[in-house]
Amino acid sequence: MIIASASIYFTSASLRKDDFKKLLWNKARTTANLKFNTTEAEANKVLVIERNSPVNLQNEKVIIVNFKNNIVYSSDDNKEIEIRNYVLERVRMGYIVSYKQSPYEVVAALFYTNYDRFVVIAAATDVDGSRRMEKLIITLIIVCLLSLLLFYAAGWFYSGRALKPISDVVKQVEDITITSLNLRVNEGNGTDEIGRLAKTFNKMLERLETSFAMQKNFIANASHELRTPLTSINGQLEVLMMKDRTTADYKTVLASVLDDIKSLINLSNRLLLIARTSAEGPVHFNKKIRFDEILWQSQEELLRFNNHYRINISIDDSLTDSDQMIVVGDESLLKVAVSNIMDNACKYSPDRSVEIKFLYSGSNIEVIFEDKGIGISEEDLKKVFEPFHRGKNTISFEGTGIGLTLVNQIIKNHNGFVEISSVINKGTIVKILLPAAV
Amino acid sequence: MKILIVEDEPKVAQFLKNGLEENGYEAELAYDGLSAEKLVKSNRYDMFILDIIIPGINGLELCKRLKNINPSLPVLMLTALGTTDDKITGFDAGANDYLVKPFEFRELLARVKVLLKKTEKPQDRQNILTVSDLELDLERKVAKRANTYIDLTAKEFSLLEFFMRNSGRVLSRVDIAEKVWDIKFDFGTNVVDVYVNFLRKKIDKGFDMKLIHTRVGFGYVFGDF
Repeated sequence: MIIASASIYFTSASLRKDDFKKLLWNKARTTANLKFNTTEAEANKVLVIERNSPVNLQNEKVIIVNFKNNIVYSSDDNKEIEIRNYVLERVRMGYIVSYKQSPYEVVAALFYTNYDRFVVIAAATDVDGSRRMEKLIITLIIVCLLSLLLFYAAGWFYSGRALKPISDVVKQVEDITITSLNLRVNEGNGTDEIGRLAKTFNKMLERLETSFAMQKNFIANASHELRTPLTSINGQLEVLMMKDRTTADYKTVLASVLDDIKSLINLSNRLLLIARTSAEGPVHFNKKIRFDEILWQSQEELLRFNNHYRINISIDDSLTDSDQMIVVGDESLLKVAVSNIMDNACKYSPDRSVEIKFLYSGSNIEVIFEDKGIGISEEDLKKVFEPFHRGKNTISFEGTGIGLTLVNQIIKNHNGFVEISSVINKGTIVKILLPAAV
Repeated sequence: MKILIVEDEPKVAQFLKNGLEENGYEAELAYDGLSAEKLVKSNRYDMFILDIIIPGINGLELCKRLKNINPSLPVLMLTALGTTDDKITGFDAGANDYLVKPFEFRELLARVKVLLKKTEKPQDRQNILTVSDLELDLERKVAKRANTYIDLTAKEFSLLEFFMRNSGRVLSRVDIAEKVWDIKFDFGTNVVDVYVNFLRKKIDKGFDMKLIHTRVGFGYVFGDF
C-alpha cells in the first residue's frame, strides 16, 4: 500500500518537473525568437502582452546572455536569478542545464541565430504544480491511513467470524463434567474441520462414558458377589448360635462356613489381580520367560488338586528352537491366565480333558486350548470377557465369572490377544497369541 | 522342634501357635521385631515364621538379622503382599520360603516340615550326578559341562536328571513321558522328541563327545560312548 503510494507520488513528481521544464524552455525559446527574429517593435509588443498574462508560468524571468557574457535581454527586473558561470560553460558545451534556485526552477540552453549563439536562461515557479503535488501527497497519506484502518477492522471482524465455531465448541466442552458425560458437542454439518473436531471429541466422550459406566458396574457386581458368601456365613452362624447344638452339627456348619470363606478368598484374590492387571501396562515387563514352563507348571498345579483332570500338551513342529518359546512378561500372571483356561476347559467338560497345542507362527507363539465341553452360546460369547458374566448353561457349575476377564486382561497386558470360538454342547476353542521375545 | 512365630495380629498368631502345637511342634510367640530379637538371644529355636508387616523393625530387616546370627536356621515368611516383586524382596532378605496370606494351614504345615527336614539331612554327595564331563547339581539345580554352566528350564532339568540317573539304559518315549511328564498314556504327543532335541542343543552342541543317542525304534540312551 505504502509502496504503491510512494511510487505514485514520485512518478507524478518527476512528470511534473519534466512538463514544467518543457514549458519553461518553450517560453524561453519563444522569448528569444521574438527578440532576435522579429523587429524590435513587434517583439516588444508581444513581450509586453506575454508578460502581463502569464498563463502557465508564474514569476517568469528570461535572461539572454551573449558570448561576451553580456546580458542582452532580461525580464528579471529584480535581478533575482543568478547567472552562474559554470552553467554558462556547460550550456556552451551543448548541454541543456536545468536546476533549481529556490523558489525558481531554471532551464538554460543555447539559442542559435544566423550570426550568433546566445545562452537563454528561463526561470519560473511552478505554483500550480507544487500545489498539485501537495494535494497529491495529502490525498495519498489519507488514503493509506484509511485503508489501514479498514484492513484492521475487516481482519478483526472476519477472523472473529472464522474462529467463532471453535469458541462455540470450547464453551460447550466447558459444560461437560464427570456428572454430565452424556452431553455431546454440536457437530454442525460434520464435514469441515470444526465438524470433524467435534466428532472426534464426541467419540472420546462416548468412550469415557462407557468406561465410567463399566467401572460403576464392576464395583456393583463385585460387592454383590462378595455379599453372597458373607450373607451365607453370617446366616449359618447366627442360626447355629441360637441354641445349643450337637458336635456333629457344629462340625457340619463350620465345614460349610469354611467353604464359603474359601470362595471369598478366591474371589478377592481374583479381584485384586484384576485391579493389578488393569493398572499395569505392557511397559512393566522385562523378564524373559519360557512359555512352555508356564504350561508345564500350570498343568502340574492343576493336576495336583484335580487329579481327575486330563491335560494333554503337544508341541508343534514349528517350534524348532527352545528360544522361540520365550516371551517377555510376568511369570505369575501368565500362569494365572493359563491355569484359568485349562481349569475352565476341564471343569466344563464331562470328560474333564483339554487338548493343548503350542505352536509358533510369524514371530508369535500361539497356544490353542480345545475341549469337548458344554460350549458357549453366541450371545454369551459376545459378553464372555465381561466381569462377572456367566454363561446361561453354567448354573450348575461353580464359578466367579471373572476368570476370562482376568485372562483377557493379562494377555492384553502382554501385548497379545485371546480368541474364543465355541459350539454349544460340542466344545470350545480358546486361542491365545503372544509376541515372541525373539 | 521349637518354632518362633513373629506375628502382630493376635488371632492369626494364636491359631498358628495352636495349629503347630497340635501337630507336634513347640511354638512361641513374639508380637514385634524387638521382642523377637530378645527371645532369640535367650532361647534356641529350630526355625522362624515371620510376618513382613510387624511393629518395630520390619520383617525383612528382622529376617536379615536372624540370618546373620544363625544362617542355617530356616525362615518362612508370611505376608499379604503377594506380587512376584514382593517375593523376590523376601528371598533377597534371606527367607527360605514365602507364603502369601490367606493361606491354607495344611500348606503351612507342609512347608514347615520341608524346611525342618532340610536342616536334618547332611550334605550328600549323592546330590551331584556326573556323566563324563557333565555335572548336574540336584540341590542348586544347575548343570555344568566342561566347566561351563548351562541354562536349563525346570522341565529340561527333569529330563536331564532322568537321563543321567538311567545312564546306559535304553529309555523308550513312553518311559520318558511317564516319568518326566507324568503322562499316563502315550497319546501321540511329541513332547519327548522336542525336549530331547532342545536338550541336545544345550548340552551336546559344541562338544565332541555326544551324550544323548537315538536308538531307532526303541528310544534314547544317555552316556559317553
